[in-house]
Amino acid sequence: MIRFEQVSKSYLGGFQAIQQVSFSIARGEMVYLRGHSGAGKSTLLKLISSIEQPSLGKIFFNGKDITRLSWDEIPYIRRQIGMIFQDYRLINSRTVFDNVALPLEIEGYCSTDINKRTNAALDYVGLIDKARYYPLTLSGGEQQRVGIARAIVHSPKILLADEPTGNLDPEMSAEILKLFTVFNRSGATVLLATHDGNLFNLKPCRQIILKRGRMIADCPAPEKGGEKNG
Amino acid sequence: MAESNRRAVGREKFILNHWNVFKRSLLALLASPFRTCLTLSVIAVSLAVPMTFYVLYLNAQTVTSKLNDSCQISLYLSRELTPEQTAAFVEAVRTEPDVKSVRFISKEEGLIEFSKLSGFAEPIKYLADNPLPDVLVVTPSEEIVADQSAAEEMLKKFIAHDEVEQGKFDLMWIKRLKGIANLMRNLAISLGIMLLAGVILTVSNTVRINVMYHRDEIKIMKFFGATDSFIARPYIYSGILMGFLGGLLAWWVNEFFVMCASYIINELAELYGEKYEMSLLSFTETSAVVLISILLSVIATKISLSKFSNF
Repeated sequence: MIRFEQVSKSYLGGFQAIQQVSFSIARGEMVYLRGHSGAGKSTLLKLISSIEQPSLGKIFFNGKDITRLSWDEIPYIRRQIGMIFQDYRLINSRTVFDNVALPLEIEGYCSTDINKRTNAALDYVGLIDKARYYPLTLSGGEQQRVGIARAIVHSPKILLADEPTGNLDPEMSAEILKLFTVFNRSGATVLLATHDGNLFNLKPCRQIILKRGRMIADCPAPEKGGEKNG
Repeated sequence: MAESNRRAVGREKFILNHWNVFKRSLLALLASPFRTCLTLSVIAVSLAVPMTFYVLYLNAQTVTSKLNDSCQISLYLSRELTPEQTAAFVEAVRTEPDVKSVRFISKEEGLIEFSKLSGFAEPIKYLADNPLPDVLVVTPSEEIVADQSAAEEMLKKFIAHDEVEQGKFDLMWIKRLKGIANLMRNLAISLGIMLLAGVILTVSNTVRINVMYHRDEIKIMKFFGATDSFIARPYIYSGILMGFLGGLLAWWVNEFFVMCASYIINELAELYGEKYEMSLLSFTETSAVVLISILLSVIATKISLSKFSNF
């Protein structure tokens, strides 16, 4: 699904955010991207979603080389990705329903399809009764669930989450994680950047660990039963 | 699956989408009424000022063209003439071959008119005798009017008569009036160009502020694969709406200006015992202004939209 080949990213001024990172993630996998803040997790996600382009190396998405995409190709790659952010990034002037419907509107679905899919997504995250609310009237956990509904509403091939539980208490985090797990079980690839080790304890799976821009470990998913590992 | 589904309802959906975006743009304009009003007024005034000058130019042109046909010579008769001599002279001028018509204004009539128009009615009463001469207003035939040297020749011939103390052409002030009309047109053009540039700057500034205000929203849309044209669409629609409403407003403002001008001109015309019907912009001209307004706004919007590409 995703393959990095010796990817490096340096910013203006010479700061090396990512150095010679290589890995690949298969379709349907759930992977944690771990490391302290500043380790390059966010940059790596940005490279996948073509928000940034690598300085060196190659990136493949679903078999397609996305290293140097032209400006008008980028939107169509992003439509195959669902993104979730630590700070939720909801549009506060629109209702929960309209927020979730946004990716469908962008792709040009007709209104009956939009209604159907949006309601299904809201139902999935348990917020169907708050469809007409505005984001700022919801709790942090609820806002993040809106973010998740928006990320999955258009059935993306892969879900990228950048510290999705960063602002939430452990109980909320567990709930959010459960949503990711269920979505992963339905066949989607999930890449979850987090520094929160508790998530791994709750749901152990493969981990890619970054430190100062370098990949220092790629731990495969533990065998069933062998829970403690990270 | 979703792909084929989407194509099936293609056109209908396209129209529906655009209608939705249009509605949203309208609501967005209404959401910040103060800013919208401000922008619309700038568009309206910027367009209305050159429009008004243009209307004034049009009117001045019709007036001068009318005056051209009726170029007249005023002859001030000597005050020593007896009424009989005067009558004989008037008759002599009337029968000249190149004279189209003659209007005789006696000094009494002249005084009455003068005291009515000048506001000196009271002091005039105290004058011992009438200081005004008899005046003969001669309208030459068309051939003479068309040929300036022939007209001057004619004036010279009249002045040579003993009965005439002084003779004058009305051509000079017609020339001046024409000059003023041309000035009006040049003002309309140069002001027009400056103010149209102003419209572009104002609208693009409004759109820029709007884009900056929705910066986060635009970023989010881009994360979910919105194309630039998808993001630009509501702004283009607001541009069209602003242009359209601004154009209509400009038309009303212009109509108001012209009505005021027409009132003043008619007051003036009344002093000459005339009535003047102001000519207004035609429907085509008004539509052209609205179209120009829309075009300018869309250009302005396009200019400021190049901004968001690097969000």
